[in-house]
Amino acid sequence: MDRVSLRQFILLTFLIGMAMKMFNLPVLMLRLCGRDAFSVLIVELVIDLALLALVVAVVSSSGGLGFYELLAASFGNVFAKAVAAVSGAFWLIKLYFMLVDVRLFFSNTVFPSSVGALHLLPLIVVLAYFASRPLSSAGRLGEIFAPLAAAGMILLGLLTFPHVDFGGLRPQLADGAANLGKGLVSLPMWFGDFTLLLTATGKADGGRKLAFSMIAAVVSFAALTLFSAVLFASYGDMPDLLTYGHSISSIAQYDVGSFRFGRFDLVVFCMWLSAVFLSAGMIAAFFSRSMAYLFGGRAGAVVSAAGGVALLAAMALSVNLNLATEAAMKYFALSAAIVQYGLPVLGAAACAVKAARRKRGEKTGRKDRK
Amino acid sequence: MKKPDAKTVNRLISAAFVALFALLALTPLVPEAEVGSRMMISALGIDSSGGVVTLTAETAGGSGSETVRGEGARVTDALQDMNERYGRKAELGHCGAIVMGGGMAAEDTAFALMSLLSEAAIGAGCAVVSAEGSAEEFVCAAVRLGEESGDGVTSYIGFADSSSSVPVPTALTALADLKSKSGATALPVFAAEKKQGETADKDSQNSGSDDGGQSSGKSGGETELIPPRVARVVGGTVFDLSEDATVGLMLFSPRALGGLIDAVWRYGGEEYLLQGEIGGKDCGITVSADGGLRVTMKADVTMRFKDRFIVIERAGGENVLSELTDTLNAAFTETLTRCALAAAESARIEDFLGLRTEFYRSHPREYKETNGDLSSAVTETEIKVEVY
Repeated sequence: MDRVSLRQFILLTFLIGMAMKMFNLPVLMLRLCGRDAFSVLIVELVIDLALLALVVAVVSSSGGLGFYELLAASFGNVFAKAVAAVSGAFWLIKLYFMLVDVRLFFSNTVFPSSVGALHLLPLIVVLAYFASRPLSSAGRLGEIFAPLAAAGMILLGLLTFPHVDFGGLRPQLADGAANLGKGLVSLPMWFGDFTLLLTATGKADGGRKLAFSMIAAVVSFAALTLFSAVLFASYGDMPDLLTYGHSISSIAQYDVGSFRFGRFDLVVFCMWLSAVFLSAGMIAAFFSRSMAYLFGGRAGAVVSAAGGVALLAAMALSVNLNLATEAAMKYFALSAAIVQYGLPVLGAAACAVKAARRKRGEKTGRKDRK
Repeated sequence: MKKPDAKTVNRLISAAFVALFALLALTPLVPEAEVGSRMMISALGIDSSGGVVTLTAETAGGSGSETVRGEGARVTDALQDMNERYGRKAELGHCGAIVMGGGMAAEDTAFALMSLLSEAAIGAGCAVVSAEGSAEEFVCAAVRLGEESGDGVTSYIGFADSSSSVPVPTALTALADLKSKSGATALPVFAAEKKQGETADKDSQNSGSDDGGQSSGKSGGETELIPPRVARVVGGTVFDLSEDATVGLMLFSPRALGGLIDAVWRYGGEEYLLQGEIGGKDCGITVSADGGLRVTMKADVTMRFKDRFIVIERAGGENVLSELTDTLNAAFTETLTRCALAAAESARIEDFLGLRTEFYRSHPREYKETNGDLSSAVTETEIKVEVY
């Protein structure tokens, strides 16, 4: 059955909230904005919470219609298909940048020479499989992975936070708000992930109780903020030391002293990593559903498969992954902002139009009866 | 063509995954992935002299440890030289300690740490210490002694971190200090000394001299490791702190707790030398710019005193216990205040306490106005000790 339960929706929110932000994002922010990255992060996360509220409103008030069906019912088929085309293309691009992040992380943290595009093939196969499964599969995987991710975060947090000098976050915005603006303009690709939950439009149980997912998002963001703060506070004076691919894991135990405890951080971080695979799966699912809506059953599956091949080819052709990351900031920031923040707004508008029509219909019906 | 049912599809997918994971067994075919082709470094010594960087490393293998060397213009060159000399690639991911040669200047130290950390070659939690003489000498001696005691250099340094009075910084914190507004860090000084003509008894007992540490009579003169007692300040200038200033540094280093601290206890017209160790502390340094620059060093310390019988046998009768503890508190407060002031005095030469960094963090505008100059600042201490 293509539905997710309330619990599954809440856990998916928790995992999606942090998944793509745990790799390159804190490093990118630090290099871009210095220690003001902390202020940028807080503002971005507040915006994302507002985004989630909008997404939840759309999911819980669509009246059983899927996202594109909702758009079609309110704005017409052509409009809905145009949105599906644009958003499908965007999710494929976002998936590419996510895989770039994964590859950068492993090549910088594990073995530099052992992670090529070919190594991502199993992951892409998994994503393709994921995209073809009903939404309940994603929900079930969320139930399985969320405890692992949470345990990973708690362990790393307990071992790291007590030793960190968070004073390194000061001073914030000492040179004005220019860095804040720069961060907000350049990084939308790494935010706005809650839009993925729109795949559950019309397919989530729980009604208004879906608003509890806000709590999951706050918890997820709190963890992300704390871990990012460790990095900002530690590297605030030397952001150039970091290269893309340095992740939270690299610093998670720096003050505990690996000379006393060994590299337990990588093992724990791998538990956390499960969140990324699930989030990537959700992106793949959104892409394939957009294609299925656009082209219909079999043709949609063929286009989805072609998207997977294109993704693998793009990964194989990406020699300098740092350039890809910079492209995400320079050339895809605007499209990321438009699609990720625009889709829920469109959904909310469609719900409002639908509600207004129903109201008008009811009034007209009453008048007719009179 | 008949469409396969869901069960068959699932079986095929499962088989594909099994096949993929079975390929992992073939990783020895990829040279980079085979552990045997790697030189697992557990401790790395770095010396820099006359534009040549010399690396001396302790390797960890199945049959024990050995020392390997490499030379080059920079750390990365020296690592490459090491790889070529021994025909294996150095793997630093599990390196636990970096020993800087005694003559290393701040610039060289920062450059070496940058080279290792920026490539994520070492973990950020790797310990950084300074050798009394050359790092090569220390690492070789420590490895030799480690073969006898079964411990490596890293575990020796790790024990010092948890039990001695000298805080051991990690690679990231040391580099952060050097790159901060303060521009200086303090590294504990480890030494391996040759003791000619000493008795072989010490060697057989492996108990060290009065200074403690491990000793060995192998390969000529007897060598022993001297436990760290002082820290070396690495900044614009390099100098060793006094023992008092080192205790002061320990007091304001968040992680360091251990080590015995001597205090003179005056009671009933007599003086006794007592020792205590810190059980817990809440400490911090603040810089205030209101009404003139002021540095305040604040510490609330709980301390367990040793040789308790000296105090207990004086209790009873008219000597109320609370009065005794008051005098004990005063004795340790006096000692720690003296040590804090000694550290503050040394920090005027090189800011290893991070005063300028704190000034910048708390008063960025005033910092810019004064260019971070704290020479006119008044130093105050608020040390409170409670013995138990």
